[in-house]
Formats: sequence, structure tokens, C-alpha cells
Amino acid sequence: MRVRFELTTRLAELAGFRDEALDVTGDTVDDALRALEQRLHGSVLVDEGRLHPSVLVVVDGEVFRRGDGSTPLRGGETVHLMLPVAGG
Amino acid sequence: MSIANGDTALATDRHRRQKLLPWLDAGAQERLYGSTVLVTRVGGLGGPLAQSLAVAGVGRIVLFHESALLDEDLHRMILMHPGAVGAPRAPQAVDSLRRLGRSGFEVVGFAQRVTPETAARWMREADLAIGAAPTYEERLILNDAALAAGKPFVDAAMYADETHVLCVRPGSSACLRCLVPEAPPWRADFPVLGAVSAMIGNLAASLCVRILAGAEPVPWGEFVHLDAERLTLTRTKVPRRPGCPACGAVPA
Repeated sequence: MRVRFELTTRLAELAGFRDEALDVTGDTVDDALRALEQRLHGSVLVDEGRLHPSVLVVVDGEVFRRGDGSTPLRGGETVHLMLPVAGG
Repeated sequence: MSIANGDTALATDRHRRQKLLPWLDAGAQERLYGSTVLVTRVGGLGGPLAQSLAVAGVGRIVLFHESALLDEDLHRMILMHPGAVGAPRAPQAVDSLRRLGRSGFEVVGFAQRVTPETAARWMREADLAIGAAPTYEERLILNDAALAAGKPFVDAAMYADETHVLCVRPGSSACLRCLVPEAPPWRADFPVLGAVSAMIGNLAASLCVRILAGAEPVPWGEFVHLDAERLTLTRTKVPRRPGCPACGAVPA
């Protein structure tokens, strides 16, 4: 299935896109995040294959907590990943 | 000719026009006059924020801002003096803010980085804490100190064209530590246009005034993301993190 990702700030900088639909192997939120983590592999925001815990994950407007990743996706959802920044 | 800083025959009610706002009546303005805010850093974001609070009539601003002014700061740090490159930033900010405030307005400045101890000391007197520093650590120090004192906290931040603000109400909303349980790796030389850092600083200032005035609505616990390139604004309710060490023990 394909899922649309929307990224903010440094996530977008590191992934090289703001909006893009990616192919996801599997059918859960965790599977979708894994597709993105592969794209970000080697970046400072992925540690041992997992996104940094301060990334806010929002699927079709609903916030997902860590541990809720087995929630199923149908495909076609928008996964919005927001990283709080500290520029002042 | 010099005109004294404060009330004169020419300016009998400096805040008359803002008191025309339906949520900012004379009683709310009095609350502003009597309020104290604590802010960490008054640079490209915190400078315009503090400037707007000073002219709105906040009674006292306590600011922490370490280190000396660089020439490359001057494209965004509007409280600093172009002739004072190399001098400490905090006294320049204090001087600029004092010129803007009404009679009786007070500014206390510290040319050092805020610590948990100094934040806790000033939160005994402050009504609101504001995070505007270019580090997660200083923002989290103020978040924690405000919650421990049972006071609200406003965090405003930016990176390139993206900006965000979070208003924290003790006991009922998520806090910055719920949103940022671990400080992510950070890039100190983040890209910044002064107009964009001032934009989010002023949005945050308007929310600070609402909070100090006791006005609603305030987007408590919402991650308000404002993109100056795409001209979009999104609001996301941040869930409280169970067992959060900062807000988990704060009673409602």
C-alpha cells in the first residue's frame, strides 16, 4: 500500500522531501514508520532503526503514541511527522 | 526636547486602544500591569516577544541571555545595538526594553544561562515562563520550573520557515517534556530570517498577553505549527505522557 508522508523542519531536510507518497510493506502504523525510517537511515534522528522519541506522529489528524503502532492502516492515509525544534 | 518615559499630559492612557479589545478590559489591563514574566533568551524570537510584552504593559520582565553580541546577530536581534558588537547581550536588551515600557515598568536582566536553580527562584515571583532559547535544555528548565511552581509556560520556536508554539497549563495540558521526552540532536546555526522569528515571537506574545489577562480561548496543550513558506497553520492536541516527570505529579 501507499501512504502519504508530510514532514516538518529537520525531518524534511534529512529525508529530502516535505510531502511524498511512499510504498509501505505491511499494514500498520509501525510498518509505515519503518518505510520512513529506511529513508532516513543513518540520519541523526534515527537510532537503532527507530525514529527519535520526540517526533510527533499524526495519522489523518490523530496523534499516535509510542506503543500504539500496531494500529492498522488501509492505505491512502496521511502520516504527518512533526519534530519540535529549538530555534529562538 | 525630551519626553519622560511614562505617563504625560500627551499620553494619559497609553493602552486605551488595546482596551477596546473585548477580552482586554480595564481589569485585565490591571492584571497585565501587575504581572511578571520570566523569559530565557531575547534574541531573534524572544526579543520581539519581549518587546511586545513591554509595550502591552506587562509589569516586569526577567530575562536570561548569556554571551556577547556578534555582528551576525543583528539581522534578527532587534533589541541589540549595532554599535555594541562584542558587548554582552543582556544589558543591551534591558536598555532597549526599558525605553519601551510605561512608568513603573521593570526589567531585570542576567547575562548568563538560566539554570534549574535560578529558574525556580524567579518562578516564585513570575506569573508566566517563556521559552525562547536556541537550546532544548533551557526550554525544558523553564517548563519544569513553571510546572513545579504551578504557573503556565509558553514555548515558541522556529527553524527556517517553520515555527511553532505550545501553551502549557499546569495540571491539565501536556507540557514541553511530554512533547520532547529527549532533546533531539540540534543544529546551533539553524537557518533564520528575522521576520519569521519575529512573527512567531509576536504570535507567542499575543498568547502570553491573553494568559496574563486571564482571557480565553488559549490553545492549551496544542502544538500550533505555523509555516511561513506554505502559509499554513495546523493545531494538534498533544496527549499528556503518562508518568511525565515534569507534569505528571502536578495537581489539576
